[in-house]
Amino acid sequence: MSERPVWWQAVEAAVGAPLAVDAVGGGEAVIDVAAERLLATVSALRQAWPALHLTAITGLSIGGEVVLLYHLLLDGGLTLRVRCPGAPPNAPSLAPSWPAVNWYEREAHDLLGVAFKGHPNLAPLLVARDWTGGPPLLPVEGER
Amino acid sequence: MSRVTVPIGPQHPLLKEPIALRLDVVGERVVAAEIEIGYVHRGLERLLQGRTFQQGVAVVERICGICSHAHTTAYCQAVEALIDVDLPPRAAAIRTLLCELERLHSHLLWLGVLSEAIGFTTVFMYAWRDREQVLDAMELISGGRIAHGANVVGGVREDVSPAQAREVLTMLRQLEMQLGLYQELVERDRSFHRRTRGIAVLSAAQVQAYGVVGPMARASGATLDIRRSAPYAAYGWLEVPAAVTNEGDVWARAWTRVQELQHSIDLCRTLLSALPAGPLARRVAERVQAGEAVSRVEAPRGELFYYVRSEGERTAARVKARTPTLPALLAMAELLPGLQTGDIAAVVAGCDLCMACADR
Repeated sequence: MSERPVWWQAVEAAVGAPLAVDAVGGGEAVIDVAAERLLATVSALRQAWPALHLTAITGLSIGGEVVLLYHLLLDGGLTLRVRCPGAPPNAPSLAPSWPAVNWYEREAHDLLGVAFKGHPNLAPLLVARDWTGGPPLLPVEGER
Repeated sequence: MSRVTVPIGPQHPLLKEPIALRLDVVGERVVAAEIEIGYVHRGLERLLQGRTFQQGVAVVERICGICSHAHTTAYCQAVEALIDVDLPPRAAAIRTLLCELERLHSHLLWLGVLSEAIGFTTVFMYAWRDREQVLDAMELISGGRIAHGANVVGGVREDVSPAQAREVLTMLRQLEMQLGLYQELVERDRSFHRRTRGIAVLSAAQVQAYGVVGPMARASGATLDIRRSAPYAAYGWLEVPAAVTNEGDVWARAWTRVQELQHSIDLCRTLLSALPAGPLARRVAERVQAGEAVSRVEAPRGELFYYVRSEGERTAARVKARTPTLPALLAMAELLPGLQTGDIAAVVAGCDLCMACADR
């Protein structure tokens, strides 16, 4: 990128490492954030842009690993990519400090089994409460 | 007075779609509210993983029966970004025209639902009658009233002939005459004011905290409108006025939408008066190169978001949709406590919920 976007400095300070930025189709930037730096990064962004808007959290299952994409909107779109280690995959919850995140985290818990540490209530949101089939977006052995 | 829990739904007469509300009331006052959704979860994001990118258009169109065209617009835009194809100008204009017609029918539907919820059946009848005219116009163009099948990856499937354009313009003229009634309703009608003014005020801080979007946020002073902030399709050529007010109550949500009805009529007219010439769609390959793309559009209820990921196969590796109803529901759970039970219907109807969108 020839000119650094407005969020660069705040995010780099919070991430604690030089940023590697990918661009995705649709013209938005994607940066990798370690799971343990997620809370600090989002908090730094919210301080710098009080009107920061979280559009969505996309959960992905890529090669046996769960990855979360936090799609933010400030001056333009910015996506934070967080790899979720562990089995079940886990990530820190943003919900206690940002209510907008609450249901998106519940949805990722439903569909991909991500355990959000510190979430006030990870009850099923979309799948039925008596569903026993496992997170629907995780690959099932023997099934494509 | 003792505290009583009143379970409402999931099936109930207030909305046409299932949602469970558990309200704790003391006398006539709501003291706590809990919302449960998921009753129309159809696993559509999972279903999309096994479909080709073109088949995906038909699936996302069926997420919602109101803003089906907004869904296909957002989805097609994401796939078009992945394959890096430019939309032909005529396709962009027709896509945008249908987006604005859809906003007209969605806002009229909402006005009818709200009016019925507050006992104003006359307005309900008028609004839904007028909405039929808009649906007829959409059917004239696309052949479908609810699922239009108008978008394809790379363009649109349906053209607008000069005769069709004339008919749509006639419909718009009739609708604009009716619009005076709705403007008078929100500006002056005392009964309407009594049921909506000062009810369920959503502050700008709450909009921010819950990520509320669309007319509901603009009724609380927020300015986010994707058509203005990141113009897509033909919106870059158009001037989209802002309909923003600070009251934040049910009345403000009605005012914002009635303003937007006029704006949508004007935008449709501008588009129809100067439809660019040229092809309707670009030819695109079935296989999509590996990559990921995001797309945002301003659906009638607000920012609609799609994420599409390809791993270089014929089928999508992941499609994610975030619909504007989800944050509206979160905010609604905050608005309900403190209300008189008689106002619940106005508040729930006023949040313009679409459970099919929220549950997917």
